[in-house]
Amino acid sequence: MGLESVWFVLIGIVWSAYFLLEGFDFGVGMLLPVLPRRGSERERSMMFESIGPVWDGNEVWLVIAGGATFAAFPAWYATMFSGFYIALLLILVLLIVRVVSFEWREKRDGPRWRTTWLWADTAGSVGAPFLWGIALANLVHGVPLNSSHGFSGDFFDLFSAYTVLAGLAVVAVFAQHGATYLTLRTVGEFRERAATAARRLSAVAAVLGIAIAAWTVIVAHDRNSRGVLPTAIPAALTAAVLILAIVFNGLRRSGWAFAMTGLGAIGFVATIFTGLYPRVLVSHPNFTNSLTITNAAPGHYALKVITIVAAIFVPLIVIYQSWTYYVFRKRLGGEQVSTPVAIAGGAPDGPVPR
Amino acid sequence: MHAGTAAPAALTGGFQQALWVLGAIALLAVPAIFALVPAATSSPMRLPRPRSASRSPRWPAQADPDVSNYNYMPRVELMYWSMRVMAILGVVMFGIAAVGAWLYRNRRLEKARWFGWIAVVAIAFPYIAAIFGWILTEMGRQPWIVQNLLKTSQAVSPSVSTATVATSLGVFVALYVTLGVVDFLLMRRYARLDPPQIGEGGGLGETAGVLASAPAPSYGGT
Repeated sequence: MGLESVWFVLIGIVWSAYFLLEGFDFGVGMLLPVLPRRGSERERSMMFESIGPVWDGNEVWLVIAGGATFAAFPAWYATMFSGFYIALLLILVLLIVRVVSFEWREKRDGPRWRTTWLWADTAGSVGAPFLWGIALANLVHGVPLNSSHGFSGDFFDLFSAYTVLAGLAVVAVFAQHGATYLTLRTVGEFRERAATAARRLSAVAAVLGIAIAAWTVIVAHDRNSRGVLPTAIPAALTAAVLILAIVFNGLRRSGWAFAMTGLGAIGFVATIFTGLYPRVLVSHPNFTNSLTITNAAPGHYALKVITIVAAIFVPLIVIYQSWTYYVFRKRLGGEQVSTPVAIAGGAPDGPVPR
Repeated sequence: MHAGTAAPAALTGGFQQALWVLGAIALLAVPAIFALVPAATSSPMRLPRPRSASRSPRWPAQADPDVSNYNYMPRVELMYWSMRVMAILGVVMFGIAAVGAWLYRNRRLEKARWFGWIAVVAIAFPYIAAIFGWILTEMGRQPWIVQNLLKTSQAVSPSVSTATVATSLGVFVALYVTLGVVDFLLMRRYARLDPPQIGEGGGLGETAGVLASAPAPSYGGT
């Protein structure tokens, strides 16, 4: 297995880490308007605080995925980022607005202000994973490429029944992942509601997730001339973990359920990447124009350099992120929760900006 | 240290102040050397003139493998002053921070209104320095995107139309202007807050909380 294959697998792993980690904070964002009791600012703040210390660290994996693609497969990066230009612009706008929602929501007390930024977070949390699902599904579904591997389609070529279903499946899997995460990070009555949501969402996620896994096997066979078996293995495992997520969420085994919802998110990436190999971006209708791990890779020297760089820095990132999760390991929902919000927005009996 | 009882404390205090001043000078010296030495060796009067600027065209359409055939000199005056605005503002910010630390150390920070005004003006300095830094790198490297290998005009993506690039630029400008305005209004709101009264509601800890959560320009995330 050459360095090209190693980097194909590594980029798949980085996307998996992104889906595993940012998946649940997107999921929490999706549930912001529906899970808290009506008018309960305390529960909304609790949901924000459950992901507050970790969401931007989770987003680092997206940056790594982009950077690794640029370094290991520059032609893939060039074609994908130029071809998916408008879609990526939309994702960026959604992510920027979501970043701001975390920063600004607590800066003022007015209900309109808080509602605005809550919905800004939810819009980003639904929109970005939907578009990522579409983008990743397009890699294997194929987009029009010319003989120099340049994108020759337009924005609407990215939308088909398969890719849109993939986007919906990612949203559903992340929603159950987020709900399950909340059952691990909260206590009391709120946790009960999160558990109910997780139970209901895991059924939806299983239906959509298994459908897209099966469809990916067919698409990889038809569009990428992949045999059925290699793609069917991760697809079957994805189906299994999504069913186990229903079981564990039903049994109220939060830890196991969270492991299964996380594996379900990873399973989507694994199925796509298995169906993709050895190509990185399938060309349709002219299959011969497809980008492969060999024609998209730079020279051996560049691959060697980034392998050394990654070997040093990825473990560092894993260590500091693990440290963050360790520091913020305590559950939320006790009496102490409301104070940081009150400080940020001005204490109730102190000067409050209106 | 050895003789009287009151003198050592006073001596130590004076000694510490001297250390602060010396430390500040040492901190200033490092960037100052970088900022001032090039200025001394190549004053604005003796800017390097582009070689044979009249004969060779600036920025030829095709990259020439023989770089010496063309004049790839950037706009030297702009580069020269961008570098100096950035570096000198950096030194000035070091200095302001050192003075602030010294005032704080001597418990005079609260009463030094003159320093408050300097600090308010200095809010703009990092932004100005960063902008000129970007002008230096982005204009200074033209027409190359990779020096002597790939020109910016050759690196343009053929599948992204000018209209699409204009759209994305428009979207980002509109988004960042909006966010910038809201950010400014939030900062003004917090700046106008009265400091919390001691022993009423919250003490210094609350002030720290407000300051810590004051909106900062964030380029994080993706």
